[in-house]
Amino acid sequence: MAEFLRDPQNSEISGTNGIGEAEEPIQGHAIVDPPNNHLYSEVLREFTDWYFSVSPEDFDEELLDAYLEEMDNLSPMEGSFDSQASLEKFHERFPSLFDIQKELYNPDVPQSPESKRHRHFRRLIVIAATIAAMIATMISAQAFGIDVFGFFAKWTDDIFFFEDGPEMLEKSEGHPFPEGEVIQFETIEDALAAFRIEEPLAPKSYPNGITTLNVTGCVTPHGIDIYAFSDDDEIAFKISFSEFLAQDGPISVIEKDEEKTWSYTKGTHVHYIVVDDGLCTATWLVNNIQCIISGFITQDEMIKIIDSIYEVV
Amino acid sequence: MRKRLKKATLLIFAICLLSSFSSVSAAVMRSSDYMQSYSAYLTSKGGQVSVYATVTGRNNYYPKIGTSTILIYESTNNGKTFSYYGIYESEDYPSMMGSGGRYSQVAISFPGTRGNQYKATVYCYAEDNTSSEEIAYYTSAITA
Repeated sequence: MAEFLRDPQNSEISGTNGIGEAEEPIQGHAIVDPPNNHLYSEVLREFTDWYFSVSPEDFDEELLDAYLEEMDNLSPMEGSFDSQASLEKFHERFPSLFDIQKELYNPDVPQSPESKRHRHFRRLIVIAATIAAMIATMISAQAFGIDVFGFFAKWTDDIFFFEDGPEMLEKSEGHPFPEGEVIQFETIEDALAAFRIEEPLAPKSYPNGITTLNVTGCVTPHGIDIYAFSDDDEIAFKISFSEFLAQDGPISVIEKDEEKTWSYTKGTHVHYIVVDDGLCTATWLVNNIQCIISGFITQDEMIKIIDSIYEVV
Repeated sequence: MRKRLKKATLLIFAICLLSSFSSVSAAVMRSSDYMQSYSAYLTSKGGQVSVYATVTGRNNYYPKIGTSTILIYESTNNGKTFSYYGIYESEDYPSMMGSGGRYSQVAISFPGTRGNQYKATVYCYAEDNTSSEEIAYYTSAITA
């Protein structure tokens, strides 16, 4: 074993935090006893001098082993590395780096009043936009004729119909005529009175040229069915009042073309108006009765007819 | 937390937007040049099942207006599946087709099995001097 010079100067294995003094090693070497620390430094210096000066042909492996053994005796390596402990030591050695990161991402760190206001404002905008969108969809749904609180009016480019609806509807109590019997009436008012329908359903104004109507009423398994037609071919005016069962809802499908569907509210009723190649049809619901008026008339004439239903004479 | 709130809000908005556009039910299929409105339904009394249909034409006069064909379907498993039950054609049942008017009410009955469900495809029909048209109407199911 070669003798080693002892040099207390310098320690090659310890580092600094770049700010102050050299500190203890982070990893790899246990803290040596103070007397051996200097001795270790001497041996290390000798070793590095020899290692970087020796030529390949003079390289002595035994000397290398001796150096390493001596250094290990003076500063033994730990049996195993504790990575977590090493990381903690690293954090302790360079605290300034981690403090900066904590400040950037720590929600507990007080924010400036201005950034707080911005965050609140952005949040309010998101909530307001969501509520506005929800209301807009409801309004547009209503504009499209979808009664979001009752039966749903639906339509395509070709047809109009009602779907779904409230579970409970006012049910008509019996009928004055047996099921299947067909009765003729003079006027719509007579038919409504005979079937004990008290709601205002009969128009008081008709298109020019309509003087008489053929009114018929009957009782079907679904209930009352009253229908009235004009004799003329030009306007082909028709009114019908059909009772429906609550579980089925109004089941009539009305033909229409690709023109838009209008909704006209009079009183508490929403009347839907569609056109099918010149044939104007209005339909609405009164309790469990689907009302339909149709004829080759204009939309304004249809609205006039609807208005007259609710006129108080 | 904020990201979750934002995601939940957007999801609710998307659901509301989609729900405002309702889809067409399976009741009817296409437009008609002959018919103004039509409907059909089934009823049951003591196991006897009846099909009622109403067809209204655009004009006041049609040589033929009513139902040309009624297909009946039956379910024995609470409506999970339906199988073909029977067919009624106006050629065999003249009461299915009216003539000379604008409005037709049709009613046919058949014996059903109590507890089974039935539904029908009703072909509403109208014919004038030049042509004719037929539209299928699918009824809801009822339990006999």
